[in-house]
Amino acid sequence: MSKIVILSAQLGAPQVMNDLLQRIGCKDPGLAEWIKQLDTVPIIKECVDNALTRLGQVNGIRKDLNITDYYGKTFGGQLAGSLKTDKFPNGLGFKVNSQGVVEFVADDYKSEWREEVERLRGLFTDAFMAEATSSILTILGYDVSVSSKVTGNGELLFNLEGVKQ
Amino acid sequence: MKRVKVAIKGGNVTLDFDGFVNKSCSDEEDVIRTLYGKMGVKNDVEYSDNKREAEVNGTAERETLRH
Repeated sequence: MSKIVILSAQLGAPQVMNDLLQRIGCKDPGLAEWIKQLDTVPIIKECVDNALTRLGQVNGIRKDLNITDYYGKTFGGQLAGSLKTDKFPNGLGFKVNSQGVVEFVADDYKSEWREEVERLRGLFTDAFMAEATSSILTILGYDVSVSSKVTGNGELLFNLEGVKQ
Repeated sequence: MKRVKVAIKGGNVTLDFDGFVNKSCSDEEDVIRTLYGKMGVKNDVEYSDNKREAEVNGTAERETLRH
């Protein structure tokens, strides 16, 4: 049997999905325990960095290290990186906290900045999910290829393929 | 050969499993979704469509589940 599954996804805190983990545990207790104990924070940090690098290669988006506020003052906290555009030169910053939660930092004082923040957040979320998918499939032993393209309305479409003998 | 094709756009993730025997694709789906959760990707099934192997010939009906 083969299968198509469509997931609605969004970023949040790393969590153990107990119902799924129980199903896995019924067939492979060792795998379930390994998943439960897996420390994903370093993988999340790597995926954030890779997602920012990938988005920095998209026309009109620049990857940077910091952000500034309305007055031009540089944000003093630790960032994994930032994304800037001509519409939003101050930049949207990205942090990964100690629990592995991706946090967004920006001064969105102007309404046009808020629109750009939401657009960049959406692009980042998809890019992060592509990187997370690539990592997951690699962990599971697949050979993975990733491609991306910008659609007509400015959205990004990611296509991945994992193959395992 | 097992193959998983993934398309990601606008917050939707489409997983297309091929080459899996019996229910092993559902087992793989469980593992992938669990690891998504551990990676901070909240995921809910919007649509799930089991494709029988005979469907390759265009002769089988699809068993479609909507959530």
